[in-house]
Amino acid sequence: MGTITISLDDNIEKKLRDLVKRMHGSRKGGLSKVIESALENYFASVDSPIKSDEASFKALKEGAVVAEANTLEDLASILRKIGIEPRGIRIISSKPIRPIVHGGYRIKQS
Amino acid sequence: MGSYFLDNTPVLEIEIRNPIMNKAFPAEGKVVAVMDTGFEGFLLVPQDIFEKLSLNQLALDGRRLILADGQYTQSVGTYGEVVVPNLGVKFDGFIETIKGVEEIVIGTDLIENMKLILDYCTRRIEVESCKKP
Repeated sequence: MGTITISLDDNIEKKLRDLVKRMHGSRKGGLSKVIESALENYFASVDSPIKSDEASFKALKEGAVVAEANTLEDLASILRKIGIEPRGIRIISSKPIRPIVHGGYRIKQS
Repeated sequence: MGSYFLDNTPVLEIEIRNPIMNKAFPAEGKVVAVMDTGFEGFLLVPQDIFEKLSLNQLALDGRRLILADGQYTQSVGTYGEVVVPNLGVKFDGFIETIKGVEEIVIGTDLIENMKLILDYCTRRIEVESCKKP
């Protein structure tokens, strides 16, 4: 069992203590149980692989996100709707490109 | 038909789109793309097609491709859409180009969305989409 000292925003601390009281009353160890459960859920969400059909796209202009959608078509519609000039837009995906991949046998060095 | 052997090479008829710039290639009909399971990307296109799609007018990302001889080459690309008209489906993915490439190549990042059977005995190809149209 490890012991960690952390600092929380007053509002979050209040919500946490209210939740612990609701779930575990004044029993000892309630706070640790809630924190453990919350962290386990967080780790699961961070570690779960992104499925290909769950990819989403963001459009960036001068480094700022100007639109976000699940498909490029929807992203394009949003950009048109908000009147963003598409030239120079950077598109990023929740499924990032790998920096090095095999090119296969069809590609020959020019 | 949509997919067949061209000589001994499996090909698929597709449309390529850049929804952001509202461009498509070809402007009408379909184009033949080679299916290469040795290519780990989504779609590789010649530079002139990349430009016709105005993909070069978006901000580009680069990466390295390992060639068959072990050498590296640099590609550039951005995201676009591939439509497979015969299956009634479309997929979004990274479309890249390199200098000197002359054919459109579909890689495993796109193929992974499909069930693909290559029957060299009867010279038939069966392609189905994993997702329903």
